[in-house]
Amino acid sequence: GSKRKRLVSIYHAESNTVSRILVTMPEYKLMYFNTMGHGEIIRWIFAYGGIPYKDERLTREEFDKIKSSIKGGKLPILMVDDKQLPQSLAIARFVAKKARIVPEDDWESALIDALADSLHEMLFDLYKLRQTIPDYNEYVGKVRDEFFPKSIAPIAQALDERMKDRQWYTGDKLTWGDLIIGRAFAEMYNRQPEMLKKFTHLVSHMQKVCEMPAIKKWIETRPESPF
Amino acid sequence: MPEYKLIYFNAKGTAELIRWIFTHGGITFTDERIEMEDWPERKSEMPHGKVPVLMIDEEPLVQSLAIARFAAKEAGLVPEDNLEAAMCDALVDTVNEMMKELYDNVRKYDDDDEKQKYFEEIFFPNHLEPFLKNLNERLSEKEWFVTDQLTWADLMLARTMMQITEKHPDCLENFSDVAAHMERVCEVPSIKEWIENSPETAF
Repeated sequence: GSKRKRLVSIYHAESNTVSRILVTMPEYKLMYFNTMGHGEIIRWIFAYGGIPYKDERLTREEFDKIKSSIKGGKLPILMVDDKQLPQSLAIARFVAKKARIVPEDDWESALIDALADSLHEMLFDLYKLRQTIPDYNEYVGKVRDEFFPKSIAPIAQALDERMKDRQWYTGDKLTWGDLIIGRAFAEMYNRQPEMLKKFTHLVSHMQKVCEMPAIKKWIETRPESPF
Repeated sequence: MPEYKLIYFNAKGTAELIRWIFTHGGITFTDERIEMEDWPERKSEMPHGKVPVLMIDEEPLVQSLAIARFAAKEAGLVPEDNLEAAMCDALVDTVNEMMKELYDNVRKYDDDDEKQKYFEEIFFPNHLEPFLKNLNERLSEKEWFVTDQLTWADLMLARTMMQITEKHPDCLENFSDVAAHMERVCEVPSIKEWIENSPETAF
């Protein structure tokens, strides 16, 4: 599709003024379910970057109707004008570049990719576990007794050690690695604080990210969803 | 120029893609292979007890796809355009997710016959076949998956197809464009040479 012109407001901190300019931007539409899941990191990145997008949330029935038009048949999908981009981390990285929170340096960028893959795997396996144990209390018990020590604690431990002497996951400013940490651990901490509270540096970093104005606002105003 | 050392088992597995990428980019790297009997001792040296690990000078990088993407950037196998680069990422993640489904389920069966049955009756119709259908359509119109040049997505695809067809030689029977793409990648001189000269391994 042809690129559209959008009227965008730019805030100039130095002069405390706002100017409105016409820019050529693609239209972004995130298609996912009404859940946080694998789509939420993308929403955080859009929010942090102040990038306008449509946050489309489909019911199962709505998805089943359009599924055959979705390449690969899975959500989330990012529509970039009329092009479909699947896969939550591919989308997240793409939007993070637009939001200018991907490091220039290839190695630093790779460190974040590795973090993203590790945490994605952890959440993926956690969601799979939830699907196999419908009873919530039984699920929580299984997480606490088996999944947490095996799959969550080692990552949390490594992150806790890393964040001990650092302001940011990599480099000297916020990157999408920090947003990933916030997203991956915020819900877990809210629901079961005693599991994570010994990882003090990780928890305080997660809280720091959640307190950032754009993220805080998103968390406060986003649609309610359990997962 | 940093010193690269790739550490993995003496196997193809999830490291072979990375070796292909470095080779294609003409990038010197140490291809360290750990024999299974030495693994219990070496495991604790690895950052998360897993391989592959890429040592860049003395700094470790984990996660096979993060390593592959890094190597691909150094090798000029990532498109400049952000959306095209994202399309590569998406294909790689899709293939990886599909193979994870295969690994996670196949390991539940001890018997080779049961593994084969799982592949034929569950994995192929529900996961592999739909994937191959979409892919075959796309590759019927394009030589390479994303742009008009080879990218790391093409290498990931071909490598995975090779891995699957080793155990299931007929699965590309109805997907001639996917098979042709795999052959095209394997004919790329650097890849061809690597395949011909690399050690025989169990997996």
